[in-house]
Amino acid sequence: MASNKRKQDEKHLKMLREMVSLPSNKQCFDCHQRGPTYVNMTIGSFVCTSCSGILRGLNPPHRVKSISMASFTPEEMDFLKCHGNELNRKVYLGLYDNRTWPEPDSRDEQRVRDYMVQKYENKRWYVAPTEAMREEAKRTNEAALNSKPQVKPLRSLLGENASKLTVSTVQTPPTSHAPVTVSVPLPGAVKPPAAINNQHPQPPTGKPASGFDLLNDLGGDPFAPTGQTTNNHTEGGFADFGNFDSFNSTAAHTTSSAPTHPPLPAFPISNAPLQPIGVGQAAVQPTAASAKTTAPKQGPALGGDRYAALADLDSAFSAPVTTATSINWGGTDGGSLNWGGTDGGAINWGGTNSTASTPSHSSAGLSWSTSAAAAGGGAINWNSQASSGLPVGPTPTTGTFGVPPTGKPGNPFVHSFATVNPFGATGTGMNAFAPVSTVNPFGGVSNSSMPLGNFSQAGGMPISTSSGFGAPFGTQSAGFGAFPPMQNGGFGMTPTSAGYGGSAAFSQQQFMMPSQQPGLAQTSGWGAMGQVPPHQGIPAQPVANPFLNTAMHQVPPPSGSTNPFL
Amino acid sequence: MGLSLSSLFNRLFGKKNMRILMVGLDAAGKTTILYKLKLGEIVTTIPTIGFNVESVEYKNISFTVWDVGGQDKIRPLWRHYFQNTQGLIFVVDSNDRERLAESKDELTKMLQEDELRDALLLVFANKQDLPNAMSCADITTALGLQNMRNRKWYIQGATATQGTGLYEGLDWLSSELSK
Repeated sequence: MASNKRKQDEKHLKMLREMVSLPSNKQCFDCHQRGPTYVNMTIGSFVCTSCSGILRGLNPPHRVKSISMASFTPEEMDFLKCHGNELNRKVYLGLYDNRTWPEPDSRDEQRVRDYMVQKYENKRWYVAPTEAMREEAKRTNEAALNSKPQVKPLRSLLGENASKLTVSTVQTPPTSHAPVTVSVPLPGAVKPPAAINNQHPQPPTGKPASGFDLLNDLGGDPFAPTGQTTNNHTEGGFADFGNFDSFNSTAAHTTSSAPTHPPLPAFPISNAPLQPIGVGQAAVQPTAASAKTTAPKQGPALGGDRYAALADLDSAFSAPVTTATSINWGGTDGGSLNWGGTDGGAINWGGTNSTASTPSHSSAGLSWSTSAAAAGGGAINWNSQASSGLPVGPTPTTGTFGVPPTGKPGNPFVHSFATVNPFGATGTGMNAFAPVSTVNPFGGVSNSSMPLGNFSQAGGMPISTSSGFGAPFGTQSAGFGAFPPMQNGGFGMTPTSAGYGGSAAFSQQQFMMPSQQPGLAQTSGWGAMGQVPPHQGIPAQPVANPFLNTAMHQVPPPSGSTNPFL
Repeated sequence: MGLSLSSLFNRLFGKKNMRILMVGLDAAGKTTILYKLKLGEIVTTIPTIGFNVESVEYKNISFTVWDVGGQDKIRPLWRHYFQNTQGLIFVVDSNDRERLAESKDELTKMLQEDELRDALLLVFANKQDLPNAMSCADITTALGLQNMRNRKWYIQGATATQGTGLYEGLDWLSSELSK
């Protein structure tokens, strides 16, 4: 009985996720914020968290339900199928003319509220729905739901040739590895990374939906500085990721002045960087305008359920297959885990891609590793990827961490590494990241524990001058929670049990049990981090890390003796 | 003389603390009540994920009020807040007739917990300002309060957005506490 209910819940959740990934439902019906997390059960629309709050306060109140934290009856699911944002737009905005009443900026709560009062209480633009409209809505929804391809087994995704994807232990000078060209068919999104591609003229794979959608999904490099246009390669590499909801909204924010590079969010302003991986609990609050402008530019709709971890793997793995020849999974000393294939600074944790002097295309440093994701058994495993890259960073030639902290505003990591010694216990100073340094400050630290640290630092970074790892974590606003507009859930939220752990670490409202008082840096920080479901792996086995080879070259083997996180 | 005696008394027995857990179905108004008590104003709330906690001083008692999110999948988390709870505030949306049975189920389930055996039960029949609101008597019946044995309970009609009824509820809690 209980299991039946759970099965039904899971089924409904899956359907909801599919519905919310339909183009018309991808944005909050009331403020256009990307990635709705609530449904308005009164009218059957998909809305964001803050609008759901406003809706509850209307007169009469609308009933809202969280997609991930409520269960739905079959009747409610049918109701949603027959409605959705598209139908409601025709109904509640049937007579709408945005010249007489411009749509409010989603950040201006009072105006959003006024707008919603007009829309729902006064029914100012209301047109009574006809049966035909309902029929059409239902048809569209069901067609979309049915056409979603099932997640395929890995074997079918990789084909028989999957060996190309195995982690290479061959050491190769980094410069000899030209990045794989990531082709993302976003109109106007990218300058092709011209110079470097000449070495390996891999044609863009050009697969719209399955090509290299992992990065697409991520919506761009959350760590790349904004608007640093000095390095074409960097830009070219990164401007490609377009398809990601939450990321994109941020991207639109940060790069609205440079429309040709929309998805270049700077990490610190990235509102909900990891969300999409987990649940799509978007707590992002972009401006309505910016969200709108990017929306049409988004890449083709994903073929599969974007929330299914395997779907991400699918896309991630399928790309390397096509362009696998130069993917360097970490066997290089140079340390480019260049799986994005972008040149000059793939996912540049070190944040150096602001420099035109980034020495070579292969110096990209960290990249998001899909193989790590595979090891993590689900969504992208940030830890593993980062752990691979971090040890790599300090080599002067890679330029990943090597560039002196210039404090460019768009680059959170410069600050991060410049002013913070994340692991005081290691006894290595912050300047370990300076180019001259040959010491890896993380050497004593578990590889896998690092990346979370980075993430969290990044979150708090732009304003953080604090030191010590625990400090930023200990505050509620630390880590991912620091993204200002992020309210509920966010990052780690996953639809199932994992959800609450995620919110403990990353939201303002914490799930810590009452007996635990937030604020103890060690416990609430790392303890909370440990709960983050999709990114677990603080205690990940280094052995399981396919990038460990890389690490070994550069770093004393992680002894772990001084590492509290091991 | 009398004055100094009373001040001595106050220093010895002065401020009491009371740990309050406030639960109820989602959108019942828990967070609004909490911040109305705390700040005296109406804040725009979003559905609570997790909890809010504030301490509210009233009648020389410091009420530590835990307001825990009420969406159905996170209700199992309520029990983690039970320990040492002296007063349970159960908030009901008086206007939500359809889900009153659901409310009753949750309340009944909760009151069976051993950790809450000594807890006072205060029911806020919230949203009394809405035209279709059920009366306290109706809600008492619907929740089966009158059948409760061995439980001190009290139901108070309230309108969080106007602040009516809230302090009356706290009055009852404080009077029970000092008994």
